[in-house]
Amino acid sequence: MHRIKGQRISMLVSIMALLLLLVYNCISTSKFSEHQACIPTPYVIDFPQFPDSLNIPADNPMTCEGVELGRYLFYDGRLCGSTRKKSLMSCASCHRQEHAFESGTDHPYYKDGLITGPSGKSTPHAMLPLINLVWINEGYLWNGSIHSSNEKLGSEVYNVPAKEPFHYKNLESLVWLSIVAPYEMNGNIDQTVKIIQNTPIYPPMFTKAFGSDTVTIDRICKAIAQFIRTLISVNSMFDQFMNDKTKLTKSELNGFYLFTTENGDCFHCHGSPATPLWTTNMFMNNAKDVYFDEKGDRSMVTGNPNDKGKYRVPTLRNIALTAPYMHDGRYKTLDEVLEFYNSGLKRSPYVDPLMINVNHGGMHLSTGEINDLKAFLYTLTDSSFITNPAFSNPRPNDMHFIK
Amino acid sequence: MIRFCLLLIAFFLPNLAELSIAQTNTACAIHVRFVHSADGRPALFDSLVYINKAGNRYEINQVQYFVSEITLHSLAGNKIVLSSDNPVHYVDKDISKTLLWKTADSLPTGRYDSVSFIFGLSPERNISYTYKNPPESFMFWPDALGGGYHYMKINLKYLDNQGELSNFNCHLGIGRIKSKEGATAGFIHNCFYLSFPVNLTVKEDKSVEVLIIMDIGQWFDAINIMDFNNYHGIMDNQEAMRKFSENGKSVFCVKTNE
Repeated sequence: MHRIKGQRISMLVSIMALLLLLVYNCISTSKFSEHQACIPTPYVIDFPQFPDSLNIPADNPMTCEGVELGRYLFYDGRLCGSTRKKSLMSCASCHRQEHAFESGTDHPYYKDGLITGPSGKSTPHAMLPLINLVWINEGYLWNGSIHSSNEKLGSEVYNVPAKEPFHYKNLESLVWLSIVAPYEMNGNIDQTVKIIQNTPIYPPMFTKAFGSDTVTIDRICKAIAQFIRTLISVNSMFDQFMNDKTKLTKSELNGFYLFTTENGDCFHCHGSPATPLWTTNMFMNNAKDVYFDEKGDRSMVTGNPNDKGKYRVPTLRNIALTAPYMHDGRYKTLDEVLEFYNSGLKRSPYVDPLMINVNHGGMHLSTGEINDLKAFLYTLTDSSFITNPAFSNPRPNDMHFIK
Repeated sequence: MIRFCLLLIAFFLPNLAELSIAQTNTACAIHVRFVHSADGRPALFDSLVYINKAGNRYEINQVQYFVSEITLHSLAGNKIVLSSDNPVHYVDKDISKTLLWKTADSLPTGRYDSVSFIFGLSPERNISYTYKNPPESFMFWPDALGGGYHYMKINLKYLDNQGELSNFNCHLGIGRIKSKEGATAGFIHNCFYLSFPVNLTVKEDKSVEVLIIMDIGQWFDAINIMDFNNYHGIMDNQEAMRKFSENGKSVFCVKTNE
C-alpha cells in the first residue's frame, strides 16, 4: 500500500516537473525568439572530387544569409560610396557573370577588358576571373601577395589605416582593397558604410547574416567574400565527359591528349583531370619576355630575384570566356595565346624549368593539332556557371544594381 | 559489495589491458629524413655549378618524388613497414615538412640489419586519382602514358650545345611501349626496389632516425651517361626512362641515427 502511494507521489512530482519544464521552454522560446531567428543557416561546400582544403577564415563562416547579402552587395553600385547614377560601381561592374566573372574584351567601358577606375588609373594587372577561389590557398592576385601569412596592415598608397580589419590576408582583404583602390572603385569606406546602412533593404539582411543591423566595412567585406566563395564551377563539358554524361569529339580528345602529354606539355602547370581546378596555382615564369622590370611580379612578394617574371598559373576553367589573357592582358584571343605557346616562347634565366618547350621556342604543333588543343580548351567551359541564377544580379530592375 | 567489486573490475579492466600491452610493446619512435646531395656534398640548388659525365654544365631547380613501403628488417626475420596503412611518402626539396617523415609507428626493440623501400609507387599503389590534394595530386601521370603518378620530377637547366641555357626534365613514371606504328602496345612499371644493409639496435625509449640520401648527380652518371642535349621530354620515351631507372639504383644510400 505504502509502495503504491509512493509511486503515485513520485508520478505526480514527475508530471509537475514536466509541466514546469514546458512552461519554462515556452517562456524562453518567446524571450529569445528574436535571437533564434537570427541564427544563420550554414552554407556547405562539398565537392568530394576537389581538394579538401577550403580557404574560409575561421572568423567568417559561410552562411546562406551571408552569401545572399554578399550577392546583393557584389552587384550594388552604391558599394563605391556613391548614389549618383553615373558614379555607381561595384564588383559586378568589371567581374561579369557571362565572362565567368572576368571583364571580357567586349566590356562596354573598358577597352580590351583592361580596367581603369574612376580615377583613370589602370589596374596593375589584368583581371583574374572569380572561379573556384575558395580552393586557393597559395595567395590571391597574380603574385599571391594576399596570403594568410601576410602580417601587413593597411596601405599608405590607398590611405587605408594600418589597423584591423585592413590586412592583406584573404578574400575579405581583396574586397576592401577593391573599394578603395584608385584604379578600381576609388571609394571611401566611411561613405560606403553610411550609404549601405541607410539603404532600407540592407539592415534586415545584416541582421539575418550577422545578428544585428549594424553595417561595418568588416561585415560588408565578409559578406561579399562569402558570395565569391560560392562561385564554383564544376560542370563543364569536360566534367560531364569524366562523369560519362557526354562524349567528346575526336578533335577534342586529341586536344586532351596533346594537353596532357609532353607534345603540348600544358598539364605540368595547368593540371589535369586529376587536379580538377585546372591549375596548380603555382607561380611561374612562362617565357613571355626576356627582361623583367615589372614591380608586381612574384619576386615582389618573396624578395627572391629568381622569382622575376613569375605570375600565378590561372585556371583554365572557362578559359574561352576569360579574355584578355596573361597578367598584363597582352593577348586578346585564345588563338593568340596558343600561337605564343606554339612558337613565341622566349629564353631567359628566369623561365621556369618545367617549360621544356622553351628550348625550341614553343610546342611546334601543326595547325590541326592547335585546333584540336583549342577544341579541348572549349570543353572546359561551364555554361551552367555563367547562367546560374544564384550568381546573378538579384535586382535587375533596380537602377542602383549593375546590369 | 560483490556488485561494487565487479563494477571496479569492469572499470579497471580496459586500463589493465592497455598496461599489459604497453609493457610488452617496448618500442621507440622512428623518423625518416630525406637528404639531397650532389657530387658527394649537400646539394646546391639554382646554381650552375655541376657538370655531368656527358659534359653538361647544369643547375638543379626542383626535386620531387615518391618513396614507398619503407621497411625495416630485423635479424629475427621480422619486417616493419612504416605507416603500413598508407606507406607512401612524397618528398619535395622545397617543402621542408616533406623532408622529415615523422611516422606514427613504434619500432619494437631489437636489432635490424636492413632497410628497404620502393622508389616511386608499386603498381598496386600507382592508381590515377588516388590523390586529390596538392602537392601529391600535382604528380599526376597522364592516363595516355599509363596513368598513376610521376615517381619523380627533377627539373633542371643546363648549357646546351649552343651554349644556351636550356631546360631538362627528368620525369619518371610508367613507360609506354609502342608498336612500330606508334600505337600503345603495353606499359612498363619503372619503379624499383632497393635494399640497404644497416646495423641498427633499437633500444627502449630511444627514437631512431633513418636517413635516405639521394645523390642527385648519380641519376645522370651512375651507369648510363645521359647527355641532356639528346632528350626533349622523356615521359613518352621508355628507353630513356629505363636508363635513368638503371642509374637510380645507384643514387641512394641509407644511414641510421640511434
